[in-house]
This record gives sequence, structure tokens and C-alpha cells, in this order.
Amino acid sequence: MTTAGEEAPSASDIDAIRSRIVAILASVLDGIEVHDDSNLLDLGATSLTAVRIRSRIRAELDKEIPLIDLLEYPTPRELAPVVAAAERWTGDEEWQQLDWASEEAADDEGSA
Amino acid sequence: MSSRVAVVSGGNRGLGLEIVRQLADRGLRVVLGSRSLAAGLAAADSLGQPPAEIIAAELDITDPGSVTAFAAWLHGRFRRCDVLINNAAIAVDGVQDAATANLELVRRTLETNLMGAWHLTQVLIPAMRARRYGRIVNMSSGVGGLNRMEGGIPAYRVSKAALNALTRIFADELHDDNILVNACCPGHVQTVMGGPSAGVPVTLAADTPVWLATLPPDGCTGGFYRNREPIEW
Repeated sequence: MTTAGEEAPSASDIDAIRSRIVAILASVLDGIEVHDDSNLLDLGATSLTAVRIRSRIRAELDKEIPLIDLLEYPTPRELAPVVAAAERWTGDEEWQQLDWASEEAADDEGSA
Repeated sequence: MSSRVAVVSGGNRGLGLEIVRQLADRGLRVVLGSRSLAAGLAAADSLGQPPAEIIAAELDITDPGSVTAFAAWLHGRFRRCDVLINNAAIAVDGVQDAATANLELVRRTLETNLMGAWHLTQVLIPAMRARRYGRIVNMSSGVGGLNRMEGGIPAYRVSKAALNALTRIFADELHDDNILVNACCPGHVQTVMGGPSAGVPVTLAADTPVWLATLPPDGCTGGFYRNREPIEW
């Protein structure tokens, strides 16, 4: 799942993802201060924390990474390019392929 | 912006139908989910001409195919879901106790009250995440509270205790998506499920779930409420 996507991510993509990862770690670690170079292993993260981080990466970035990547790239700076390069992931179920962000159905224009 | 869309499972009668009515009164477009489409259509008709749109849809939360088909239909019809009321539930314990309970009845109860609500929530979360807005209300019961847990109606109690746990898990998982998840106890309501001894009128019982369904951005999440007041888990 960490094979490269169709296009190489740009530096600004990686910057954006890095700041999202910082926010995700801060949230999952209950508001501990997190920086680009904060190391998960120093922040008291457990395997359960890792699962929650992966879940937020799925939810917010539509990307799936193996849990082991969190150990191998334990800082936002190291992890961001790995996440950026991961394939888009929305799940395997049919209902997970519905695109809810697209325009609202046309026959509802009447109700404001 | 079009008005918000709410889904109410088990919306064809009793408390569910009253919640449908009150949400429509507040201007939400409401999807009235019903195991039987005919019952759902009749229930929607019974509400007369509400201020907002009410649409009945077939939804059997114990049937995985029905739940996913419902999500696909909702996607095609509205392309959004802002509010989910997990109201559909069964109470089939009768007078059984845990020591001799018919486990098939227990299984059926969990299948509906826990797994059904879980599955429906799962398939609608992506719709809420897409707009970074969501209100999920799980219709629970004080008899599912662990601190006051006692004998009797074991399947129903366990199903609601589990639903309460799920409420807190979802509240935590969805907090950063601005999706607020709460459980509430409507009290002993005068409906088919509540039976003849029930004391709480249905209009009053719907007030707290409707309040939780329309919470402001800084509203509570991961709580358990009765009459808009927090109660013990």
C-alpha cells in the first residue's frame, strides 16, 4: 500500500500533509505539543495510539499506511513523504466508494 | 445552502415518528427509515403537510444489504447526511432472566440494537465527513447504565450498555471531523414498545434527541442524556 501513486507528490503536498500529521498526533496524544521533528517513540505512543493515528490518516487524507511505517518514520517530517506517496485508499466496501463530496443531487434545488 | 438532511431509523411509528415530525418542524429534510416501505409511506402521510420534506425509505438495519442499498439511495437522492438518529430497536426479552435467557432472543436483540445501529452509522459517516458536520444520536436507555445495572430484561440491557460504549468510541473517533455523537434515554414512553404502563408522552420524549440532533458547533459529544441533562453511564 505504500507503492508510489501515479504522480510524485510535490513539496507543497508534503508540507500540507506534514502539518496535518502534526495536528493528528497532537489530537490523538491528547493535546501534547507536537512539532515537525517530535518523535512518536518519545511521546508515550502505544500500539493503540498507532492504530488511532492510522485511522485518522485514513479519515482525513484518504491514505493507508502500514502500522510499521509509524515505527520506521516516527516523526511528522519523516512520515509526511511516506504518506504523500501512499496510494489513495477509501476501503474495499462498495459503500466506501460513494463520493459524498460531489455536488448535491440536482432535484433538491427547490428547498433552500 | 440547502437544508440539512436527517435520517431516522425506525421512523414509522412511536418515538421515531415523533422525532421525524419535530426535525421537519425545524426545517430539516427528513428521511424516515422503515423496515416496511408501505408502513413508512403511511407514516409519512400521517404527518400531513410539514414545513420541510419528509421521505420514506426502506431500511432494515438488520439486513446488511438493505443498509448499503439505503446508503447508495441516499447518496443518489440527497448526496448528503447531516444527522443520524439510531432509533430502530427491539425489546423482546419479555420476562426472561440472564440465567435462563433464550440466547436466540439475545442474539436478535444485539443484531438489531447494537449491530444494526453500528452498520448504519458506518455507512453514513463518510457523508458527514465530506461536509465536516454531523450529529449522531443513539436512542439508548437508562436500563443500559452500568452503574445501576441489575437483573431482568438482560438482552435489552446488554444491547443498550454496548450501544452506550459505542457512542463513546464514535464520539472519540469522530471528534476531529466535527461530528458530535451522543446517547439519550427517552424515559418510559407511551408507545407500542413502552406499553400501557408508560408515563412519558411521546412529544416530550422526542425533545432531547431532537436537541442533540441540532446541537451548535460547540455542542457536547460522548454524553448520555435524559431531559437534556447528563445522566450516569
